[in-house]
Amino acid sequence: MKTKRGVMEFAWIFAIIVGAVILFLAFYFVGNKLLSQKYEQATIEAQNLDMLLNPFSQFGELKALDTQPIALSRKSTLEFSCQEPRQKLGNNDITINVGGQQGISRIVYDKYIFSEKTYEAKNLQGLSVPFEMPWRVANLIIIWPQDRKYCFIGAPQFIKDELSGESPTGLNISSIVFSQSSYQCPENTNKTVCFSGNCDIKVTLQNGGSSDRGSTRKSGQTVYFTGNALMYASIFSDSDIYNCNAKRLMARLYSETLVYEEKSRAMTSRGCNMNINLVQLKQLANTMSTSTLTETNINNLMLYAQQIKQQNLGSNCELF
Amino acid sequence: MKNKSISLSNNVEMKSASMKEKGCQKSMRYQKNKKAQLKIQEMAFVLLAVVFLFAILLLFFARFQMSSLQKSATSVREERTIDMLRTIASMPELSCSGEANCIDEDKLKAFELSTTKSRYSDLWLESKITKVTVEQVYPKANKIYNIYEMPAESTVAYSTFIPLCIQNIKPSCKIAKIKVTVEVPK
Repeated sequence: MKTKRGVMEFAWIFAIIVGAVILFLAFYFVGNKLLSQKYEQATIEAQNLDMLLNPFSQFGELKALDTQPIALSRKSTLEFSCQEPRQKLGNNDITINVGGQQGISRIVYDKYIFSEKTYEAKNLQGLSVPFEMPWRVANLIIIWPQDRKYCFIGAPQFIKDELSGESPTGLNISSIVFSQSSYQCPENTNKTVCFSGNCDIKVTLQNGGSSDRGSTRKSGQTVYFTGNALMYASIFSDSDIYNCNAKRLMARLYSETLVYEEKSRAMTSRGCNMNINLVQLKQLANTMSTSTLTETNINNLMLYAQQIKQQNLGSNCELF
Repeated sequence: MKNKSISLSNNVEMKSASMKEKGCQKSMRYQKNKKAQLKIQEMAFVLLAVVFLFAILLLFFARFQMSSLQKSATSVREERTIDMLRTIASMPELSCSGEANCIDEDKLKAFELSTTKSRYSDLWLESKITKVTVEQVYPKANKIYNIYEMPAESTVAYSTFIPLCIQNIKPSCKIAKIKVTVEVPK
């Protein structure tokens, strides 16, 4: 390796330098490849989740309420966000983080995903509920980690019938337990939901305990709802995502009202007796698509929807 | 005199010997240099060949990656477009009331003409959809409803048949074809 004078031969110095460069490049490319693989995986996973949620948004009027467990290929960190309508329909973003590497966000325009902003999960529990005002505006997709246990304390009978396995048509969701008091909740309960008294999520139902109108208080913030769909959405989702998706729903309702207005005119021209006034609902939906849901807005919305429903029943041709 | 001439000839011999030795050393150094140069050249060529080989390998690898990426992009887009056919049929803006997988002709006409159509452009753009049409196929009529259209170069179309119904006092149905045209990944 050394000459007589003790100086390293050129060939050796050269070999060491070139070898080091080759080794560095090899490690660099392998590392890069592994990182890009994780990036690709996270991106594909978000795309797959969007596809897995497709049936939930397409149940339509065939099923009033449905649930399916959703399995991801590995335990990942899920992030959900929502963009407000701004003259369009807005969107939800799904971002998945696999092994510390975040993939490209999946932008979803045709779904209304109600969930907490971020959590780690492999299996998800999904609930699809049609939002009707008074026609089916869209199907809401409500998701939460399957291993997160919710204990519903003193829930009204209609919720028990829909979510528990007590009635033959009940969904029998394993991550939801029903009890009469907080002491009866299982030890592994992550969140308590109560309909009177105080706990993690407090649901107040007005109008004699039905889901017509009400509010949900969670993490110090109150959100308002009308109907089953928004009630379940308010329980399982973050208030920011809830309010943003509610605006998106109002923007969609406004668009649909324009379509129904035209349809009503076409049906009247064919001899149908259509005495349906959609103007108030259209205006309110347009206003609500830019402002947060308030108790007054929700009450008016429900009132107009009920009026339209009655008018539709009284017509000789059904508008919806 | 004799001694002087002997010492002179000795000097000349020594000088010539030392010159010979120097010449020999020079030629040896020259030969050594030439050998080293050859070794360096050899090494440079080997390195060039290695770099060239790596470059070719990298190029092949990139090409292979590109083609597999393109294949998966095409299949994902295909799946998404086929799914979009179902999504369109179940959209509350177009679907019949109380029935799944059926399009309401009145809603379709209203949607085609309404100003709200532009609010849905993001939905189509995100899926790289360039055209969505609903065409009445039975009874045969030249009726094509254009839900969305955007100019594009290379496209591929997917279609499915669906009932096209009209709600009157007495509802009636026809058969239509939903056609979704999507941009091919480049």
